[in-house]
Amino acid sequence: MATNLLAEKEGVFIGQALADARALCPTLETAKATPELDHISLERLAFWCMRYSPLVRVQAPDGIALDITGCAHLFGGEPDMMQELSSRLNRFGLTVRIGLADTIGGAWAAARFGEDQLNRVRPGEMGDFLAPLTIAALDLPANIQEQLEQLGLHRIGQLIETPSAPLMARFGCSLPERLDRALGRAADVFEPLVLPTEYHAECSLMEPVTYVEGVQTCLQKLGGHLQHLLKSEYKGARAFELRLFRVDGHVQRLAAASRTLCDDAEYIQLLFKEALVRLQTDVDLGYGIDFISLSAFFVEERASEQRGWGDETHAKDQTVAINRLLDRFGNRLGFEQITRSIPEDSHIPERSHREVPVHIDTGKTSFWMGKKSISQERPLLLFRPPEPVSVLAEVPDGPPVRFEWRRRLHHITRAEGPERIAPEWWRLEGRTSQQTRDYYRVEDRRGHRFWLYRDGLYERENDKPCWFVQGVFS
Amino acid sequence: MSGTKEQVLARLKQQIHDLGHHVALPEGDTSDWQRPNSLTLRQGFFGIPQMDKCLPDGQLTDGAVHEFVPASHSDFPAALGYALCCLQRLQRRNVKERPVLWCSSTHRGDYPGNLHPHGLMCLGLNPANFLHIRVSSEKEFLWVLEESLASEACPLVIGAYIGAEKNYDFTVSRRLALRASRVGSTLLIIRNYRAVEGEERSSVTAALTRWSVQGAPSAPEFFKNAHIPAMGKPRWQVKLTRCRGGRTGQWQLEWQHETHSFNLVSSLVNRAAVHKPTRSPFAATANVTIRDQAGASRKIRRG
Repeated sequence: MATNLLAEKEGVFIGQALADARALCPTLETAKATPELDHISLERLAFWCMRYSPLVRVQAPDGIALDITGCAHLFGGEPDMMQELSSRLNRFGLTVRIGLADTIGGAWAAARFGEDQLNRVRPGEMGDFLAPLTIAALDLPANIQEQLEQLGLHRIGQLIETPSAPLMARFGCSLPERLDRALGRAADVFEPLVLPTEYHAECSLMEPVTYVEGVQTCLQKLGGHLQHLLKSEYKGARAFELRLFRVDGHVQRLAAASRTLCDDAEYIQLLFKEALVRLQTDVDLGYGIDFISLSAFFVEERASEQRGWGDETHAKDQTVAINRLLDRFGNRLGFEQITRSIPEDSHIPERSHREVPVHIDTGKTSFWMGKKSISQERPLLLFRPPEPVSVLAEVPDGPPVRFEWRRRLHHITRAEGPERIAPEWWRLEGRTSQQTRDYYRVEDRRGHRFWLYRDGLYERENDKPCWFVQGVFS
Repeated sequence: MSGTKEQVLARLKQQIHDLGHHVALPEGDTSDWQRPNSLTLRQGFFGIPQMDKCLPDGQLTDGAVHEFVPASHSDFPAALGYALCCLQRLQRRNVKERPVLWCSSTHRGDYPGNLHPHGLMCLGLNPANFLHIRVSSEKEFLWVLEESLASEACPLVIGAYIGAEKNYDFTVSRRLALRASRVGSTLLIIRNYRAVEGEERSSVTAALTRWSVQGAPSAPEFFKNAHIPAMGKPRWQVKLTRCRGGRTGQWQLEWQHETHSFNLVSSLVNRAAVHKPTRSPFAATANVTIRDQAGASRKIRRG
């Protein structure tokens, strides 16, 4: 039930009998209350409020809450922001009351029980503001409010003065808790209605599902919705979130990402396959899931692609297949686990290449072809960092005769070198030593081939240079 | 007298014949020389008649699992190198280079889990084609292999057990083989050196071939000023221990990185490393002293 300002001027108020109201004001227009539609429009309004803050929620039945932490300065401070919001809403033909306070409960009270249309409680003055208000401003359940009034506790100030233990004993935890939250003594959680995404699909289930198969069916349906949404605007998304709302209030959120812009329901299902398998094994579905939503993020304009023809058809199919495969790996193992090596401009073996995740497309991989001429004999497996060995070698720069590595003695029968690699003096950050390295390719009696180096030169840089094994050849 | 001469001649001829396989290109129709593509198609996988005879159709078949087992722990690089050379040969069958998926189970392993791209280039492989998937457990490792075999995207998959293997058995290998055969992708798996010698469970698998690989001393290359001969091309002692639809065998192979082909190291070349008196200062002085002693003793005798 609600009345507008004009009707109130005539003396109509909420809770009045319709006949009385009609008698007071013969021109009164009435309509049946439609709470569901009200809620929908309230939610729509909440969406609209996202222009002020990304964190918005509906306070049923007649309010919207905004978390404006860090947003006010964008609109010229808190008072200006309130002014702006109220004037805009007024232009929509709505009557608004706005409260701004430190806490959610305080703001609720300020909006409904403040003196003006726009009430701003200065920081730290929450207690002073709440004290003279009636206990209705705490938004308590009707029976508690009634009991409190019977006890003669009419003002919040009286409640603040009362010790909390007897109150808790009489009314349960909710009353002191609510009071504390309103006063800012206890933490309150602001759960936003939606994360700011446009591409979103959800479905409410009549019966909660407790099996992953049910979730899969829902996902199929939601994917279909999302596909329709995305396809109608020629868009694709790179990430998706599936929210599973459990009956007991817990929300399970599953994320999946795609390397390419995706707008296909089947593909979305494939992306979530691994997450759902994990859901089955690791996560307790509890009493079941009665609400599921699917939202798309990183939505981008999709360029229309023509399927290749001739030889290209195969290449294109293969690209699609490989993206599909990598998406599966990425969603299970993490996208940064799929790497590819790209060459680096350095002769120091540890720095001569770098592993980059595949999804970072540097386009540098084609550089390998140009490197062919530079590459000398290099080992198949490279130790990073190199492992120290004890070596018997001729001084000053003869090849090693034998060396001990991992507690095993290797007698060298073939040796080749040295290949001298100078240090990169222009690099200041020195994780590798700044000494000249002499590399030797050696083979032991049993046909195992190693890449050894001496770190430093005799009598020039170091008296006792160390030896390291850098790699092993096939 | 003439009989022995003929025998000597026959033996020499045989040795020359064996040496004949030491050249980069195998014997074949001269018409093939102009068309290298058809050459690779028509000839056997290794291009070595003795080896190709043992393989079914003379090929390392696509759509199957091939196992490579290092002979010992330190032979892992040899097994990996040999498998990669086989991969290179497989890659060459196609006109276009195909992506290769590399995944290693490094749990408790003491070799690096990643391939050195410059080293791959030395074997004639293009590192740009390699995708590396890092996994944290053997379960994930096998899952990655299975998924990549099932997808058409990666026709060549190479997996390596650098650490211990626990779950790889007949069932798992059968799953992998089935997936591979369905799509026609190939899996080369390098197993732990202890895998086969152990119990029956891990030694019987659904792999089409199993190779036991051991590093072998390379051919020495002598240089004038060096005390120790230089390293030759990589060589392996390769044993085909299991081959479905073929025969087993044992060879010593050498990889020619210029022509990307295998050479059979013939018996003449396959000798123990030549023990030339190494002219390192210690050895040299030792020789001298011996000679001196001998000389002295001779002198004494003469005297």
